[in-house]
Amino acid sequence: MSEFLQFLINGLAVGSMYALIALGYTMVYGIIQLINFAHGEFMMMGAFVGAFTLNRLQGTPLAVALVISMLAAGLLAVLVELVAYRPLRRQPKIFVLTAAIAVSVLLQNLGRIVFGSSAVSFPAQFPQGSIGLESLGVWVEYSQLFVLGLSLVLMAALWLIVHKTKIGAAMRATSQDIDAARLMGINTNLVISFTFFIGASLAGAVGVFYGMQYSVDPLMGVQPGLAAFVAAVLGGIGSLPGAMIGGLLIGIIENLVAGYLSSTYQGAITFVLLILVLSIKPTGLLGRMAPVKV
Amino acid sequence: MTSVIEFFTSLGSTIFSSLDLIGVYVILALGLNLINGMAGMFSIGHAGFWAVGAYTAAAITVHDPLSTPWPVTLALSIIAAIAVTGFAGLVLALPCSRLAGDYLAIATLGFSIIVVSLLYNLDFVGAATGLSTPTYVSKGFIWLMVALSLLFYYRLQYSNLGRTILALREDEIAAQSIGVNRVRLKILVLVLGAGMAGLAGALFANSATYINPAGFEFDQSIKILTMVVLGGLGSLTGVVLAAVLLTLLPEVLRLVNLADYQMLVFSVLLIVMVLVRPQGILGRKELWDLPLLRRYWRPSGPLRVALGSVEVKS
Repeated sequence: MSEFLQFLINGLAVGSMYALIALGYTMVYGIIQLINFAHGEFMMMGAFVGAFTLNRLQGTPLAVALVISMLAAGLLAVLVELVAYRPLRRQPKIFVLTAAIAVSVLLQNLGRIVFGSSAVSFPAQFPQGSIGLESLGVWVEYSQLFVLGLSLVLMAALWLIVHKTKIGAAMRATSQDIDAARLMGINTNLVISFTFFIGASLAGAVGVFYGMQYSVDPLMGVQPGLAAFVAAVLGGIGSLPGAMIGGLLIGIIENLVAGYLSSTYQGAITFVLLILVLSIKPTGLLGRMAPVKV
Repeated sequence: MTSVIEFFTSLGSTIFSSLDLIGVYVILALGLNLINGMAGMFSIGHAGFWAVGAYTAAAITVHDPLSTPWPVTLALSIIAAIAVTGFAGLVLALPCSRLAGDYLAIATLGFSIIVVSLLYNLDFVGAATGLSTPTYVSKGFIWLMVALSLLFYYRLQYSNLGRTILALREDEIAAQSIGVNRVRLKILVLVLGAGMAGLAGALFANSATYINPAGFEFDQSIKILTMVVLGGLGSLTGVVLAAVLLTLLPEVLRLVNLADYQMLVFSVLLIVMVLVRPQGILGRKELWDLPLLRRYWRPSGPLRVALGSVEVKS
């Protein structure tokens, strides 16, 4: 029982990071129906910026480094959308998807050339250690608590932006019907840029969380990116609560599989889950299928 | 001056020694062109299918379970590779064919990553060290297979089936309204494209001295995708030309000591092509448009196949 609880807690910690990445996928998909393959690389760039800030500028508070990372990842995403995605918006879908996958490979290789392919580590931020719940036999690391707590704060902030601000209303309108939104006087290009910015800055924050617990390397975005995408599909792509639930579920399932079976098949399980969801309920837990109208 | 001559001699010998690899990539690019170009679907995990084919063939030629004479073993390995890879295509196509195209992209991406990570851990195919394979096939045999694949692709494109696939690509709803079975057709396309990758895998495994999982990483899928996009999605001549050029590109980069930058070059090439020239290097031109050939060679069928060569409706 205590073993199970421990896997559950580890799963929640990883899952909250998947959820934050999945939110970016799902927001972009909701607004322009594009799978942004480069999303995992925004997380990688955020991690490198965070590591760079903390390593080079000694004494920078973690909060400042986190904000810098989020800004950097967000601005990078705005740039990518402007240069590589926007000109292709009216072309057949396959071209913008190609551009997205190419941007992903480009960023990985730029990362490799600029930062080197060896892993970089974050300077220690917390006292190492964990809180033990003796009666249950479960340990929660300080960094896990930090990540869980901050993820909740970021998700709450996102919810406020989307539901309580003017730009949030514009985002919701654009995702419902982009042409109608433009006719109502919404600057949809600005809304799309803003969506990319918000989504990627969440990914940038995850980059810092990831870097603090593991290490930072140019290919670090690939696996969490894929897992988070599966999370977004599981929750129902386009749905924000779906992405959060999906992320937590994927994190927990991965940890249970790794714990009880073998960590070798952790990635394979994510993929099998994707195929299962697509076969059984392609709209995901909370998604809705939009009818195609001629 | 001597260094220029040296460069070209070494380039020449590189081209000759790469002939078998060029053949393999031409077949791979044709298979992906069938899926992404002719059918307008989006698969980005072609190296995953290639790996399945290569490892199926290698498992048969190395372990030789039936102890048959080598030509029989070779034939068995090629047939098994095509069958198993086609089946993998079927398994991927079943859940995706009803959904929007993007799901196929992520499913194939995931598939190729999982295949490689499993190969790294499967001991009976050598895990990370890979397998030493017998070299049963010559360059001549590979190019015979390339010729057959080209013939297959060409005949398919101008067959009834090919026209139906094109119709589905251009407008799904209109095609369905005149009785095209969308789901069945998409599954068939993926099985055929994967099967071609299986053939390429079998040829690769039987011509290289060893295969290992690192040779089928995601980078390879990007290379094949770049061949198809550079050549022009759906263009036959362009894709073959691009496959030849891009197989040689890493070798050329190695000669000038820029091997580290090859994936950078491929990704930039991809982005520039989709932004600047989405119809591919040759655009709407095919081999049979050459003035010399035009009088004798007129394909009977849809003449403009390349995606992006048609006016885009907004």
